[in-house]
Parts: sequence; C-alpha cells; structure tokens
Amino acid sequence: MIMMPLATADDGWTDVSDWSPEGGPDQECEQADIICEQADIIVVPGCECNIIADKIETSANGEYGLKYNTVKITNSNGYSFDWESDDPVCKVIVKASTGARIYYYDNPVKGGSAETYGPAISHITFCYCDDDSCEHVFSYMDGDELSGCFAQGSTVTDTITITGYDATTVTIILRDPAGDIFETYDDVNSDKDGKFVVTFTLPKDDLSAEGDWTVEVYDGADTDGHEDENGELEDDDMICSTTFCVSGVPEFIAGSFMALFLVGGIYFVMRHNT
Amino acid sequence: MTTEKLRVAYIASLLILATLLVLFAQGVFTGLLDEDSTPVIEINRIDLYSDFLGNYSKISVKISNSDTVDHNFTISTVQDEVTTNNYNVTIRSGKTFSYQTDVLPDRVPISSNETINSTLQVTKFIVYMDDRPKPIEEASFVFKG
Repeated sequence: MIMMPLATADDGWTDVSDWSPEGGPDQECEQADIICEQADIIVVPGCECNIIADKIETSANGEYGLKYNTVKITNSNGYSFDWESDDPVCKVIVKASTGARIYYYDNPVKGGSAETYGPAISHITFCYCDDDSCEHVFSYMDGDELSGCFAQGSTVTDTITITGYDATTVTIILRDPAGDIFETYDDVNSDKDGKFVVTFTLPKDDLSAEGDWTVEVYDGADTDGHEDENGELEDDDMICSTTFCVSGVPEFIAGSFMALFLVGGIYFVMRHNT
Repeated sequence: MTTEKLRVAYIASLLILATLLVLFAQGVFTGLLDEDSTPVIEINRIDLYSDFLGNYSKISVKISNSDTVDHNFTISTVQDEVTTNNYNVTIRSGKTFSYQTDVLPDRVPISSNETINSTLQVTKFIVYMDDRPKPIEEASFVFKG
C-alpha cells in the first residue's frame, strides 16, 4: 500500500493520507521513518532506528502507564491535545480516520502539542529514542578480532561498550540460532574502562549451531531474573542486542570428502586388480 | 605403481574405512543406549583477580537436559539464608545451558549463624527442576572478604 505524504512543514510534522502499517506501534514508527525520508525530512541519527513505541487507543485526557513509558494527555478535545512523557520522544503519530499526522523532533522532547490533520483522533503512537547504544567487539581467545563467522568450538570474547548507561552491571544472554538461551551471564561487572567483557565457548560438531547467534544485553540492576509473571523475558529491561554468525561443521564436510576419496581409491584399486 | 603396492594401499584404505565405521557406530550406539535421562548439572567456581574489581569469583552452573522432554529450571542464589536471585530458564530436550555470575566477596554478607568474630561469607547456588520441591543440585561456596 502506498502512503503518500500530503504536506510537509519545516516545523516538524507531515501528513499522510493513507496510514495503515501492518503490525503494532513499533512498525508504525519504522514506517514513519520511511515517510520522513520520502518527504525529505532529516531523521535524527539514533532516532531512525528506534524500535520501541507505545500506543494509546484514544486521545482522552489522562495519565497512561504504557509498556515502555508513562504519558500524560491534557487539554484534549478529540482533535488536538498536549502531552508530557517521562522518556524523550522522537516521533508522535496522530492517527485519524484513514490518515495520520506524524510529528518528529530533531532533539527528542518530553512534551508538546499535537493535532489531527482533520478528522477526529483515533489513536496516538509515541516513538522513543533508545539512548543506550552498544558497541560489540568480538574476538578470539588470542585477541584476533572476528572477521566472517566464528568456527564451531571457538572460545569467543565479546567486549561491550554501552553509551548512555551508568550502572556497573549488566546481564548478558546468548541465544542459539533456534532462539533458545544457550548461556546467561548474570551481574557482569564493568571493568575499569566501563566495558563489559564476557567469554563463551561455542558448541562443537553441532549442525544446529550454524547460523546467527544473538547477544542480548539487559539492565543488570534488575534482579528478578528478567522474566515477568508468565516466565517471559521482559523486553523493557533490554538495553540492546546484536548477532554474530557461526559457521557449519567443518569435520562433517572433511569426513564426506575423506569417504569419497576412500570409495574412489577402492574402486580404482579393484579395477586394476581385475 | 606395482600391483603389490596397490594391494597395500587398498588394504590400508579398508582399514581406515573400518576404523571410521567403528567410530561412527560407537557414537551412534552410545547415544542410543544412553538411557540415563537425568539432567546433568555441574556447578563450578573459578577465583579471579582484576586490578579494578580485586578478588572475585566466577560461578558457573552448567545444565545438560538429556531427557526426551523440555524442563524448566530455577537457579537460586542464597546468601545468609535469603534468596537474593532466582533465574528461570526452559531447557529444551537434548540442549545444554550455562549460567554464570560474578561474586564479589565484599558484597557477600557474613552468615548470621556464624560466630560474631567470623568473617565467613557463604553463597549457595541451588538448582530446582520443574515443580519438584527438592533441589536437584546445590553447592555452597565460602568467600573471605
């Protein structure tokens, strides 16, 4: 479905005639980035990759404790409203009828005013900047940095630098390509440079180990095991995540070649003996 | 190459092939005949030192679920008779999971059941499986602050 920007203003909003991104508020914010690019709006670095968002299914006045944030709506008349947020917001999407008005902020803000492009407001989506960003440096035990994929059975060191994070502990979860938790490092302490260093040994000769592994970094201040009452991991504790790849089983391939060589050799010898 | 040399090469190839077949069969049958489905749990401690943290210990709990069904595990950390952390994880059949945590001796309270002059600091790691009330593995470690 084509979503055509109707108008663009220099002061930070654009109207979209047909606004119906599939998925939840996260997908709305991702789509808003695309709309901003189409409308030649400069998306602030750090805001363009935001993946966390909250949605209010009304524009009524009130304080809303949302999944990631608390937002207060005041002075609402169904067509315009003022808002305040605990966390900095980089976009506000005001949905009405089939379209939407997208507000964006060069510097994320904690409050503002917004209004519909015309019809009454049906829902409001808030997109957040993820202030914490992680830099991972993967290396082998001998200190060589990763290039390409890790070999199976490797001992891997991940040195993580987190900007915008003041606490001194994190919890790090390593997931295999199937999404299952392979290792958990609880309460990892930062070193003198503020970096978090973990070492893990990859499985060996495991066909299911081939693929993308995920490293998730969680707020270490949380001591509840990072699970809610249903035993699910709490997304709001996650600071960042990244992936690295693990290659297939070389022994398996080598074994296949050896078997092929032997069969060929036997065939050759038997032909010369007959 | 003479016929004799070819025969030697042929026999050597057969021997190598037979060895590979034996090793393969051994691996397969070891897996098939392994009827012990009780999860294997190892709790280990490594004492380390860094200029920044001083003396500290890395505790690792390795759980191998060799059963044919998935199991839920809880790893509890207990200090001075108080549970300070519960970590819950589901381990799928045939998979292995590792839990690690750093213990800084300075942050381990002195056990209240020790004498007042004691500096004995104990952290206990207990592993529970599914809804079983009794732990399936536990280990206590003593630290000196």
